[in-house]
Amino acid sequence: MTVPTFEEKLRILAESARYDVSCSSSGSNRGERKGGVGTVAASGICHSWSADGRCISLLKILLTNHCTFDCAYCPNRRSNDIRRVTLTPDEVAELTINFYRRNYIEGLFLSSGVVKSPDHTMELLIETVRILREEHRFNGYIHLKLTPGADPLLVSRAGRLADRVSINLELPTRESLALLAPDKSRDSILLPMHQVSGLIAARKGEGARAPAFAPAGQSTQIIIGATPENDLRIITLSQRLYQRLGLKRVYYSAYVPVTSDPRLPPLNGVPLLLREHRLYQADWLLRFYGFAPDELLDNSTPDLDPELDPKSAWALRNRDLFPVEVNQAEYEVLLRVPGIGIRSAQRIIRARREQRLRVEELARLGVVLKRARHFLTGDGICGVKELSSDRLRAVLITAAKRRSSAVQLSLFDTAASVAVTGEF
Amino acid sequence: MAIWCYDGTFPGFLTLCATLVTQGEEPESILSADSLHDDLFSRTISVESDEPRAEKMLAAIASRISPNSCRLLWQAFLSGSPGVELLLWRYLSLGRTTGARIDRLTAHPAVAPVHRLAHTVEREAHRVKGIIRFQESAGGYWYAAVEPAYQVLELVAPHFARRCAGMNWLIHDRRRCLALAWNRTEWRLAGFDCEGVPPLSTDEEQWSTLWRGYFSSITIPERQNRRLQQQHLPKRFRSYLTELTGSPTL
Repeated sequence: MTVPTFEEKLRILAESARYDVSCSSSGSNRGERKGGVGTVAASGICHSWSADGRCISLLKILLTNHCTFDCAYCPNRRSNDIRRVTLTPDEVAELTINFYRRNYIEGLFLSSGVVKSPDHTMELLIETVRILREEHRFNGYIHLKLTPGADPLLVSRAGRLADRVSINLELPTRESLALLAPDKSRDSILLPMHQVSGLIAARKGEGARAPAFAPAGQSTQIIIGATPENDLRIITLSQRLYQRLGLKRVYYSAYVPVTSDPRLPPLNGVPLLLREHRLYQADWLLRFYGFAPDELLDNSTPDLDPELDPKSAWALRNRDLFPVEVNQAEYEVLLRVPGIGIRSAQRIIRARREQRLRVEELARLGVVLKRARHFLTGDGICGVKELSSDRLRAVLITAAKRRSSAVQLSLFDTAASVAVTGEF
Repeated sequence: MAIWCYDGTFPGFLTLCATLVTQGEEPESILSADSLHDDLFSRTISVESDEPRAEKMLAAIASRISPNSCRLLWQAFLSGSPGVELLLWRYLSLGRTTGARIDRLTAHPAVAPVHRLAHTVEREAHRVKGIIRFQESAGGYWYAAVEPAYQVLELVAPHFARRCAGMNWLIHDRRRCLALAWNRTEWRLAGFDCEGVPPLSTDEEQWSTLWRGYFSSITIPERQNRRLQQQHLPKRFRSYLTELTGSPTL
């Protein structure tokens, strides 16, 4: 086999990295440094969109796709017959700086296959970031992956250099992890996660002068559809990660079988992408809309409705709570109206301090009424006929279909969605 | 009918508003000189742009209405949307009676459309921050061409001045023949008429090729969704994006 060129290495390592979903560059607030290269933008910036419709904000790349682990879901697993290449920390730093200067990217998302040992791998990752920060004086965004089982000292170094750190939970339960990722123990993932969560919390009590520690927080990723866990189990887990460990984001990745085995049936990927989309919607409801997992799902209906977004589905089950009067309803109540997002709710609250709002004013404020009008009144007037629940369900599904004909199947973190929800 | 006419600049527009206020006039139409057509039945009143007067007007808006109004008026003005001048004039007239309360009258028919325009312009500015592509010229400065939907160069200037503080750069709005230039100390916006791209540094080709390769490899083929991609990347940006121009090598 010929020696791969630098360009070939880059392409191979991008292919190996692309199943990591996160590309967010938001939420950091590191200050500027005189003479440094670059800045971070609190709201995040998308620089391009790839042919799968996902936002490209960061140079997402592995240091190497050599790996001693053999996780069944991963294209880089030891037993998979693919081309293996490695870049040096210097090469990755150089690439990042040059892409950044051209405004191709907002920063770096760096991960790696596990080579030699978790500690050795973590050291290589940290060395890359150190070169960027200290030698190139790079001040842009860096998302650094933690290696499962890495030494606590290395984990804390990583957090001091990066804007965000993450370690992937991969599978929702200990049993699934043992089945599909025999080299990773649940504890080798949870311990660094707990450590980072503790260090971030401790940093908050130290005042503005203390050195930053992962100012954009910690995230993780769960693979959906490779194991049998239901949606209730997944969003309950996410809620715990948000509440107990203070995670910024949980990413969901629809399982794409990365295998060349011809005996396996071809995959029809669409339903899984739809499930992933619904999970992101439910996740949004947990983080920004004040919903609890058991309001959205229970043991008799443990999976999200594929036809309807989770908020509409909830509203249909709770019609006795509607319609709400926009001139009186509390902010938290407005947020629960299908079709009303955070921005619309805020606009309503601000505008109604000065005048009574009718449906006409709502439209003027830019509130999208297609779904919302079935669940609210403006100054006592609803404007649409009351429908039976079956009819209403059909109407809501049609409204959503029209919207998704413009392709809504993907809810990755585009700057737009970040701006709307105010994730900081 | 009288058509009030100004030079198309924001200071020009503010001068015109100051004139309307002092003369107690209520215009039926306000047009910039280049969108004015001969109209036998209308009288045209031209107002010369007057920088100090515009400054004073802006200061008066900030103190008697609200500082937020200044920003809002400017951003909405940059939309260049047909009829925006009259819209802004009505907003101003309302502001003279309400004062700072206008910031809370967001559902008022004279206020809501101004917010909406300003918001649209702001969104375009945010997009431009991401889709600008600098190329290193042989002369050592960095060049980027762009055709934004609105005149947003001044809105993105502080961002690039901070981010690319150590580079000499020039961002060229080809649609409006304007350029924003940064010399590592200050930025300046000026008319700029120039076809083509400056001669590039010898390194440039190498990095753009790498970027194109990266761009195509980061796609998950099983999730291909061109429509979603195109929805995010409006046509006006595509011909300036390094990753969508030139052919990726395999």
